Amino acid sequence: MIANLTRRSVLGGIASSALVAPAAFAQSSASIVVVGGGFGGATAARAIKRLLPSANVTLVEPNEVYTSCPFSNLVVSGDRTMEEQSFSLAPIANEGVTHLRTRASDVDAVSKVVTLETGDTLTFDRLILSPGIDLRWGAVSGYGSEAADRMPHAWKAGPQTDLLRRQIEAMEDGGTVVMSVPAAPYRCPPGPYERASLIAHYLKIRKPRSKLIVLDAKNSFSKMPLFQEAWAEHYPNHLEWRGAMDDGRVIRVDPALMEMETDFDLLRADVANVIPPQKAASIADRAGVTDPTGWCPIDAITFESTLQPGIHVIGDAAIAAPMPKSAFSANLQAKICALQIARLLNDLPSQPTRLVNTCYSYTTPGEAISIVGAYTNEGGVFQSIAGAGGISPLGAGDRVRQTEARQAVDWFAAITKESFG
Amino acid sequence: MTVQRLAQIGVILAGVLASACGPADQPAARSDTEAQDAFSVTASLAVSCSGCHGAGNAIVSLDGLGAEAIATSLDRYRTEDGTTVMHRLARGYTEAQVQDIAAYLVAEDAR
Repeated sequence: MIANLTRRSVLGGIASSALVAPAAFAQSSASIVVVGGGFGGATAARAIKRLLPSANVTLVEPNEVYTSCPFSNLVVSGDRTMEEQSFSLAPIANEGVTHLRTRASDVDAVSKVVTLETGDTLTFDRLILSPGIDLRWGAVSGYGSEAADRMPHAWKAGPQTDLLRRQIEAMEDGGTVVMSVPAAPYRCPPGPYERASLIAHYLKIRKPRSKLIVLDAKNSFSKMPLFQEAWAEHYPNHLEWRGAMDDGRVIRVDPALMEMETDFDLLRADVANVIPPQKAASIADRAGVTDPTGWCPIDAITFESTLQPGIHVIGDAAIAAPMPKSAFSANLQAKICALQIARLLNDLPSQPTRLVNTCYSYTTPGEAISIVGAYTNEGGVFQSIAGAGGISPLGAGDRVRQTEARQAVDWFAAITKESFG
Repeated sequence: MTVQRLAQIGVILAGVLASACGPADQPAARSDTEAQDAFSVTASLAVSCSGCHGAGNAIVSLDGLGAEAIATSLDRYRTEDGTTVMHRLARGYTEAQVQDIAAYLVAEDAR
């Protein structure tokens, strides 16, 4: 019983019960390599090992500690610490996964070999890429990697999150924060608007003569009616959003002068948060699994690349629309991908199912809204299920928003435990 | 559906899941039919629940619920108006799928 309790605490809830291997299928000694230790990769490595205890499962991830993007907007607004965003990958080794603390530098899809930065190589029967995103440096003219020291993107959680926080904290009252938001697709569709809400909340309370201007390359965005409802109620004097049709698209920045330029306007920022266009991380290019969009086309049932057999892509790097690039999606895609790989390695046919996504966003530190989706993957293509999914009700009142804020906290605890143990 | 009711369901389901541990500890006890179940469509459907209702700090814990209670709750989410994410998610499943998911979770419990 003690052993069971220990096992239970290590493995966690539904995922463990649903995904522990039946004996008849547990004999595969295949080599599975997982690249990337975020919500997708960490989950995938653990799920595969549970399904195929005899398999050699290797996680390639340079960091010992993962820093979570979800909830990091609360760090930017000063409502949360970086420590609360940090998750050790150490428990993964206790589950029989080999964690190599290095980076994958190349993938040979034909010989099925991953080359590591150390020069070592790993052969694989199945490779799961969960590499996340790269920022498209230069896509906004003037915004190269050095520019991020002055104009943080904070779209990969860590030092950039801290930098943006410190800049906003150091800004004098009366200053202007300018945020630039890219066209879709990008990591976390509602993320910029949650961040805008929380920065505006900070300004309203702490620097009431200051203002946030959001320059957007789009005319509509995730949870838009709910965000706009919250902004009208809470931040009429502290948040201004300009969509593409109002000249919102930023085409050039000058970090030295702290200038942001649109087609017809030039804004000077005291703090500039440039969220640039994105693509799948570069290892996906090396593996030959990206298409001309920069993202990775997949079969929606198995997450196997449609370009390179034997390589599966999950999480933000994959083209899974209408599933969004979210932590919930990455975690679930990892579990489904692991299950389908286990079936394939046991000569069982792949099997369509239904998937969901759930995503909460804060509009104030104590209030949140949500969007959910439910999807089929018949025929290897994701489709939203008609009649399901959608956003929180408009005009629902404080109590509903406060309830969803509490549920968001519980969700974060659940998803991080499901991912990192 | 009230928040209290939701929490109640949560408590029940979590228990079902939490007690469903360790099939790999006793692999010999599993029949081939049971083994098939772990790779079944229903298993893959049930995995979707784990992003919020996994072990530990679940949004709502599902401790102690039987299959009927789980299915009834999910069916209410499918058919009643409400403000939670579950009211929007449950509509993504058929009545038969809801029954299967509930039965699967409880069968896991029994193992």
